[in-house]
Amino acid sequence: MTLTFVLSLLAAALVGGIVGSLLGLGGGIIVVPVYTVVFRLPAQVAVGTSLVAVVANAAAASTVYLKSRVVNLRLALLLATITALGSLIGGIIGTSVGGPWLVGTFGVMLVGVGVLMLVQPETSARRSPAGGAAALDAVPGSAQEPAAAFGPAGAPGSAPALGSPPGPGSAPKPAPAEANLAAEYYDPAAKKTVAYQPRRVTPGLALSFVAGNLSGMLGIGGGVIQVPVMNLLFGMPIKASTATSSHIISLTAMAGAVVYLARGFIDPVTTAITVVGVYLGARLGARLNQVLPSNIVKRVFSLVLFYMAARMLAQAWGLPFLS
Amino acid sequence: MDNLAYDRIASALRWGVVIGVVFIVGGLGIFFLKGAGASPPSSNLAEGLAGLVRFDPGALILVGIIVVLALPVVQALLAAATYRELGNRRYTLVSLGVFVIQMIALAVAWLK
Repeated sequence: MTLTFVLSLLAAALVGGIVGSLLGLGGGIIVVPVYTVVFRLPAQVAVGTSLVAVVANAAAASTVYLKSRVVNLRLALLLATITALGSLIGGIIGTSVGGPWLVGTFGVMLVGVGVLMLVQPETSARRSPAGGAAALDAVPGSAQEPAAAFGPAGAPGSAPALGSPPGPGSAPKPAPAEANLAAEYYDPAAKKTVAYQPRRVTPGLALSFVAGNLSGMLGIGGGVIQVPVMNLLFGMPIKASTATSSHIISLTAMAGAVVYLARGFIDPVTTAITVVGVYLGARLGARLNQVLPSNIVKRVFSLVLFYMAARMLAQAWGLPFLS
Repeated sequence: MDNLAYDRIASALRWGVVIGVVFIVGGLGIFFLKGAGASPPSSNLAEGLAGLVRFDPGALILVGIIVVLALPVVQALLAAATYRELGNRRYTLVSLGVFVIQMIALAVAWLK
């Protein structure tokens, strides 16, 4: 391993952390394609490496979210059972299929995420003064979490957005099993205690399985699915959705990661560089997130995602151009 | 309220992350200091950990990775123990459910 290669890896992980943070999608969304397309690492090594970084970042973020009580611990544990199962199955699929299949699947996922980024409406919470983030800014390794873990600028989100808790009388009565999931936390930005009652949790279980599955198979956080599910389906405030998603991932991504570790797909030095690079990049991205125009950032990087997707699909299909 | 569970898990995560990162960064530092003298780290877990007695950088990094990946298991066990202490049977069982799936993942991972 030459110094140039090491520095290139570190730079890629750093950029992955920054961009993933700016996009609100976590470092894996950039690290995995760059490692496979640019550095020509085996797809399984790239995914396994990314998963360890996901676990480390989510765990670091969860310490602060737990301290501030923004995590809904009961809901996290409930969803973690099914998400961990999805992550395990995703890990088995990811380590069993051929590299081209994995690269191709990731390419298809990138196209989907790129389209979502282009059509997703901007929300007011994203650029809130205390570092709050919109739904998709909630993925482990993304802008909010590391900053939240280690700096005041990233105190866990600040403003309920898409899924602000329904007012009294406006929502259906929770099912008996959901009643004990009610929670509250103090929002320092709004200077008030926010109380909410998650609803429609049962249908969300299936989506949690999908989130875990994608995480284990592709080395991404899974928050891209979990956060909107909690925010839009369960009716939870965005901050609680973000924190709870992060905590679920800190509990479940290991189920996929150990499969890659046991099967020899985790290279220690590459992983160490990635963990450090993505972490530092995510912190930097959290700061940049406050000053860059998010709509433009999203549009520009959606083009980057489409380009990476094209290269991954070309590599998967063995096409000479782009790959 | 579940404050006890929140505090215990947060403390465990904080220390776990610190310990894991110390091993990872320490191993990476030794790897670069040794330069050309460093043996290429093994991605095989048993081989990699065997290098721990030689203070091998790859082994140190692997220990850090294992510490990080062990944190979810510690979390689930702590949650189960705390909810049991609080007399909450439902979430003791849910936490144990998470732990059982994590153990299944470990068992499946090492099945060749």
